[in-house]
Amino acid sequence: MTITQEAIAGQPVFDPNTLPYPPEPTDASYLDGTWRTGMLTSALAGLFKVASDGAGKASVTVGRHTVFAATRPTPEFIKHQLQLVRNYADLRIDRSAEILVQMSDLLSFFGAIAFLDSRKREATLEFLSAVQTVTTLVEAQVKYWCWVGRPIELAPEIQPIIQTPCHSSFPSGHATEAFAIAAVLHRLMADSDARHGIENAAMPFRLAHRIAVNRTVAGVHYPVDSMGGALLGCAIAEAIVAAASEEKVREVTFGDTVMAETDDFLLSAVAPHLPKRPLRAVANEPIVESLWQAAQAEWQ
Amino acid sequence: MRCRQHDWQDNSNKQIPPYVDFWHAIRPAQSIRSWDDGKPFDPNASYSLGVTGDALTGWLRAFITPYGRSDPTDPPPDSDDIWTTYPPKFVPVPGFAVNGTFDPTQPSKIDLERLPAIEADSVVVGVIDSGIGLGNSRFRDGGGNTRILASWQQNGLRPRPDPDDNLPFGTELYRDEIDTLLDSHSVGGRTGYLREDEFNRAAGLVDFHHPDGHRELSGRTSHGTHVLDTAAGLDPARADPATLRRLKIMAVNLPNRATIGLSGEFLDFFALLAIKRIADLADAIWTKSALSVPEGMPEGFPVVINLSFGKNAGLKDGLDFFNLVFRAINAERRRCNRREIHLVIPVGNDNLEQGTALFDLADTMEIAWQTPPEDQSANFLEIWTEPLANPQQAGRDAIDPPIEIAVTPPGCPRAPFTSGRNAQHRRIGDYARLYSLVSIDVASSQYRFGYILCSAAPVRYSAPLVTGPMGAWSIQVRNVSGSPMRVYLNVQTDQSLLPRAATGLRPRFEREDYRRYLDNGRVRDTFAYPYDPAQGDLETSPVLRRHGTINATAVSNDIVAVAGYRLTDGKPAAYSSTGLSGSLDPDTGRANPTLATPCDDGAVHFGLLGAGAANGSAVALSGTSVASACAARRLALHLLTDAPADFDANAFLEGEAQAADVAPGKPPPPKIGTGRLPVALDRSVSRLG
Repeated sequence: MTITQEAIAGQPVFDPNTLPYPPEPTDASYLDGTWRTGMLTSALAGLFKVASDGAGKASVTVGRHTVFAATRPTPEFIKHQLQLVRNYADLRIDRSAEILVQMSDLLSFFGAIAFLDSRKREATLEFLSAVQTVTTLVEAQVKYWCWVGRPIELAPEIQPIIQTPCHSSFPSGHATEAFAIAAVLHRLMADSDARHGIENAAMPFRLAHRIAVNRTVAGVHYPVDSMGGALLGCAIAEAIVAAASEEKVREVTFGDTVMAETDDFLLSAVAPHLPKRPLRAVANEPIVESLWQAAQAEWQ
Repeated sequence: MRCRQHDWQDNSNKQIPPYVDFWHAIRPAQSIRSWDDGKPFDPNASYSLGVTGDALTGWLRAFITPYGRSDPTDPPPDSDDIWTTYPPKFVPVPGFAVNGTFDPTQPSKIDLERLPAIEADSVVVGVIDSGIGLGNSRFRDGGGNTRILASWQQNGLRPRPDPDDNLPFGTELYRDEIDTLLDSHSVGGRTGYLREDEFNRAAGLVDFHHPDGHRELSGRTSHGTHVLDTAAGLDPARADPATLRRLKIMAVNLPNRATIGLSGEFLDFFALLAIKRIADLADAIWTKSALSVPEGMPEGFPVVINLSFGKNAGLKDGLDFFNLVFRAINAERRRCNRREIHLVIPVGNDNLEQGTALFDLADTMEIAWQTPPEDQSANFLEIWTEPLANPQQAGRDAIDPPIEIAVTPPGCPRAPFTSGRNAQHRRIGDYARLYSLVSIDVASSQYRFGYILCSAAPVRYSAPLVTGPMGAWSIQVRNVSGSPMRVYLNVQTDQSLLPRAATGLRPRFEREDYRRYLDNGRVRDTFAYPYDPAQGDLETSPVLRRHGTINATAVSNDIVAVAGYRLTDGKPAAYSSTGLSGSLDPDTGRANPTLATPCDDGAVHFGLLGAGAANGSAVALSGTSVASACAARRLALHLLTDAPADFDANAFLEGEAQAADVAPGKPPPPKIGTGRLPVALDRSVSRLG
């Protein structure tokens, strides 16, 4: 390269009038996908702050607004959930293949229910990827503050069919990510919020529910973990959409009244805990808004 | 101590079947409780429930009397003998399914208010199985309304407070209640998306809370749903509206395998209750519908019931408890001018299991019985003489044993010959029992003498923790009657707790002259295909046989017994059980299947497509269970067109199959009955193009 430059560049005289101008602030099309997704992820991550009182509670805020608050289930509660985990193991023969693939790949499953082509839905794919990454960043902190031991720690007979992760059982990371992806995708597909989508059993949420339940089948989560994750995932998704648009956020709470200790995790049980009326507006984030609009345009 | 064989002793209760007695013997901690002992039932526990004295038998006896009978306590004619022939005295029931208010001195009840009224031109298909999905769209009409008139979940979560049905266990749903549940759990009305997770739990079909709860409908494949779809499923968007309206369904979800027994120890009990309940409910709906018939016609809807279960071991002469009771049910129905129930059962998939042997016994013969390692289910072997003369009509206890037996467990010194008398047993170690018993056929002045060997599982990780040996047992039988006789040996059916697990392994017989394969490496069936009469059969051993593997439950002239074949080329399924070499009792028992229907589409398309567990899904299932459901469908569709008073299901299907099967190289009757009958299923596409 050096030899070539020496050979052909000569001794140029620069004309300041030809200096390039910055692109429009809302135009990120000149970036490659990886950088663009990374930038979006960074912008989204900056929205959320997780705090705790140190006693098994965690809250997620966006700006001054709490979008999610959780109190971890008690050990007594978890004990009652253990029988459900054992009984769900009966489905392992059927679901092993799904479970193994879903250890690391959720988006492919969403790609089977929505046309997520890398050209036709490039912006959507980037947005969903960023959503998933940011969700893991948030959920990691919520798990840390709301620590609950895994089923294998209570009973070796559970004998999970995959490696039990090192982090807290509650809330379920897979459930959080799956419901966050589902909520954002549903917004793009149907221009409808998570509560409405769940009440109508829209396909993205049916899939998210199945992904969540598969973790119980695998033996690494309790049903209550999936409920906590579903609510957290929806809260994250709605906050992201609010930051990208003129929507308001809801405050989602996971507490004593969400589930009884012998309850199973059913999709229809999620919606009542997503408040109907959005409460507060959050500040728009220009980068997020711009890339969200690019994604929306792919569905029109 | 493992080899010690104790003296013969009388059974504690002469009328408890050996399987049931052994089931309880290896569970000493689980005592029998009574429904009416006043103590609460823990929903997470499992109980052996009986009643004091003979009350359970009395209730069962009352249960089989037809609906509307003037005196339900009056014993039915010609059936007194049944009630001294091994009805179980107790049954296992999960605590969550128990009816705590059950009164065994009273018959079961039916609330007409809850039942639907339907048209007189209806035909009812009853399916008794496990994992029947009541919400499946193939069991509904074009408006999303269910075609299921009633469904009994025998293992269902008992509602509280208990409904006033006096059923001993489980829960029932009727048509309008199913429709209400469909409404509650559908998005956008009854024709919209059904939230099956929620519906199945609300209907008591799925239960993840209790160890003994049902879960098949949360999997991919559910036997009961596939079978019901094959027998009576219709595409609501494409089917003839009249057929949708007239072809009704009744379903009974049997308890899970832990309750009915991995070798069907309690299957007869639950299956007979199911049959009778379907009949009673059908009669009640007839009454509710205020229907009448012309002079000379019997009352009631035509009812075809498919029961895709069975056992490899048993009397196989039509005189076992199940067949005696079923015959009595229909006899009562005829007496009360009601239509007979048509029962369709598969011949079974045991043809290649090395579980059937035949001794032409002049003196002594021996065979090896191999119990496999890593087997977590108890193992059973039945040994029965052919029918022997009983001209003096001696009672069971008076009959001297015509055969002696020597049972040597693996690794033990050779056991001496010994014999027991009716309703006796001897203990082998702490893990096995050998029972001796007599079956009497009053009508023909004959009896059969039998031994039933019961051995605990070689491996157990949960109760019962008694374990038996694995390896080669020696089974010797000696003829002490003075005349040559045939003796039939059958290894009992053996399943795993979960449908696709491999923890319940079946023992088999071993003989050097038994060949599993042909010289070209293919699986050896009973006969070559195409069949050449000059060649005869392909059996290589006179002792270890494919002949006689037919389902012991299906061996009755009153039942349609269905074999299976491959649709593309007509080849009988190699696993489809073979009939007996000759009927053991021509009056009551059949030798061969009635007919054969498809159970595989083709050599690379195994099974037949039918509904999967989830609504809208399809799975392929093979086996004579599927063939049986095909035959039930053929019967039901015919009854929609013509249902005479004296309709003979066996004769009809025999005639249909014989007329349809004129192909050269047609297999002989022990494999396919009178012939192969293709049955059209209601699928929108064909796998064969």
